[in-house]
Amino acid sequence: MVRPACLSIIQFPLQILLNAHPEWSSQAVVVVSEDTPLGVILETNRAAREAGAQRGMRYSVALTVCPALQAGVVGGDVLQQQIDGCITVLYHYTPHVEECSFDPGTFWLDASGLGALYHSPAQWVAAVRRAMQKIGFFCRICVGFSRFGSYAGAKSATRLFRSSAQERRWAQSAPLTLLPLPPRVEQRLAQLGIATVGDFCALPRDGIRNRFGIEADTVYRFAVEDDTVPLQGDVPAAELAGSTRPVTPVRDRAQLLAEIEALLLDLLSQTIVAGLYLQQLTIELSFEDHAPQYEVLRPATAERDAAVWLRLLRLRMEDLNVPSGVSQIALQGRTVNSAAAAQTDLFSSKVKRDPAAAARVFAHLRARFGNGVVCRVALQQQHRPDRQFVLLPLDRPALPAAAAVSSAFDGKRHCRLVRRIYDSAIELKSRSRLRPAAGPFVVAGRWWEQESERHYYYAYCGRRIVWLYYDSGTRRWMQQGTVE
Amino acid sequence: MISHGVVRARTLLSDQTAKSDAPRWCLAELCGRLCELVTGSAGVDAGSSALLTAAAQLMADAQRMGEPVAWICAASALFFPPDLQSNGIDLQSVAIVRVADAQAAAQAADQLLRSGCFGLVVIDLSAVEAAIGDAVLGRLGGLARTHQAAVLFLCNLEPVTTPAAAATADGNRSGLGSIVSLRAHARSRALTTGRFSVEIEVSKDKRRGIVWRWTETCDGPPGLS
Repeated sequence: MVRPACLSIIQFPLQILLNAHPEWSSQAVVVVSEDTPLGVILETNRAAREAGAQRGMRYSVALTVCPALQAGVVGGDVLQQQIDGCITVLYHYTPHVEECSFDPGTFWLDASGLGALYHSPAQWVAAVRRAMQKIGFFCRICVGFSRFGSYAGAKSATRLFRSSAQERRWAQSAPLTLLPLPPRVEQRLAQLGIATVGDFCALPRDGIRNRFGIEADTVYRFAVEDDTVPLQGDVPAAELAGSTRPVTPVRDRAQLLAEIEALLLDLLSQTIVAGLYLQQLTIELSFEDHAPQYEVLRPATAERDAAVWLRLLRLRMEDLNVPSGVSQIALQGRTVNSAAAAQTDLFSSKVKRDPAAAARVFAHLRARFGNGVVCRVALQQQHRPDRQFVLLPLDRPALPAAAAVSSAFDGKRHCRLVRRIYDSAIELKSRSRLRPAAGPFVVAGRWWEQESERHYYYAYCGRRIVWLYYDSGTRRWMQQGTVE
Repeated sequence: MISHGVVRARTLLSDQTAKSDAPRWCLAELCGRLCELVTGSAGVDAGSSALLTAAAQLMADAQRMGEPVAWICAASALFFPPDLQSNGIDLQSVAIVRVADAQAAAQAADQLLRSGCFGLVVIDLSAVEAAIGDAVLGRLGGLARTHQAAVLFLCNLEPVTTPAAAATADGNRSGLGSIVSLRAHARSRALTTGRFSVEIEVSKDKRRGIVWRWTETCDGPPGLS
């Protein structure tokens, strides 16, 4: 079982700034969006907060309450450089490191399978924290059962969840401030009395996008959708992109799908030529009079099979809301190199049997041929052969129990000839062609129901072996079946 | 001194090499193919039918490999389940589909194969006329290849004897057409008291291009062994 662990570097931009200016460590420091008086404060340290500077405040306003305030901008390039450095360190402690796309400084690590190296998850967590401190970052790590649960745990300094149920309960009751929502959205939600993650998740999805914007929608989907896709390591590779600008804005969903499909197939053909596998696809839809909309698709594993991607695309498009004409479509694909994908191919030579697909077929067969058409056998402890089993309805097939198969048939025992049993025994009009082979074997009936004894025999009928009985009550010879 | 029962590794290896090339009646041999197991054809020598026993061996092999098995029968008769259990088959995981005729059986097989869930689909047509068109058989063969499954038809070329089949058939029957990839005759012979020899004689094998035979020694059912 995969145990995702979330590592969250506390106030990542602020720590980068303080690492760059160690002399500021005892002063009031803030990270601003731009180095101008109108720049917005994004992060504050304790001294700044105690002096009155707050997130969302303009730098010029903050200077009036704290004249000694130190401020700096942490640009995207610096941020990405530091993230790459962190990932390099983390790969020493886990086989998979996945970067959070909307919260810089947050990573998911694969914490499973490390039992031979570390006695407990807590020991592994301590080792990772020490490694991060060596490169100058203080972080929180939570080992959980899902991306969101471990994320919420890391943000609140919870280190370990014992069960997925505990994690789910805890995440639902966690305060909303744990989520990386823009300050403006946080304020509006607080005014609406929404204080916990559970309250936030109960809001309608369409309303989130329309009222609070794309960033809030991304966070909402992260919290609501049960993301069971395995962790995907960020093996750096090429980014592929493609875009198109339709002659007239596209309002029809089918036409939009066709346009995206054409771009996607082009992207996939590029991956085949380059020997890459597509790991994630971001679709950017630019509208005539709305803000751009982003859709992110990600398969279970990096794929370049068009059928897989088209199926995911169509599923996403079914639910897509197109508020106005789409004036531009841009696709951006994140790829991984072929070596990473080839490693998974090693285990996929055997066809995977999917009982869920068979269950759907069973439903189809029942609808087509009748409800009793699909069944399984259950054995019963009875004397009469025709009562030694019953047929029960079967909704979903079970995979064979290896233990039962191997113990019953170990290769040393001889197999047995198998009999065929008729649903209703057939009366034998004549026994002149029969040659006795074995019997009689007397089987008592249910005497309390006035059933009579049966005398079972085997006999040759030409080349065939038939299985018959004499009913002492009705005094008739019946054929129960054959031996085949 | 070497004790009894110890075999030289070289002997084992050469024996294994020889065995690995020889055809066997197992799922690996039939995987991805459309196969027909018949009994009672004219001209083939005497012996009782061994259709169910041969199919049971294949089912046990499939289950040992972890493959789910489906059994489609187009008659009012079924294998005797306790006998399958004594052959090492996990009955809980055998899906049984009971339909009226060969066409319905083919439709059901098409659906089951298309789901990709089954490694072996046995279609028991021994009590009905095996009238299935070449187009349908071709499609089933394609599905078997795609999903790495074995499709095994059980056909009886003798005149029918069961009441259900008697209404639909008259006289001798023919097997499936030329589409099948492997055709074999299954019969059993009594060896000694309670012991039988099950012979599977493959008369057509498109993959190997040779005629081959597989023989197994079996016990009779309780009372006959």
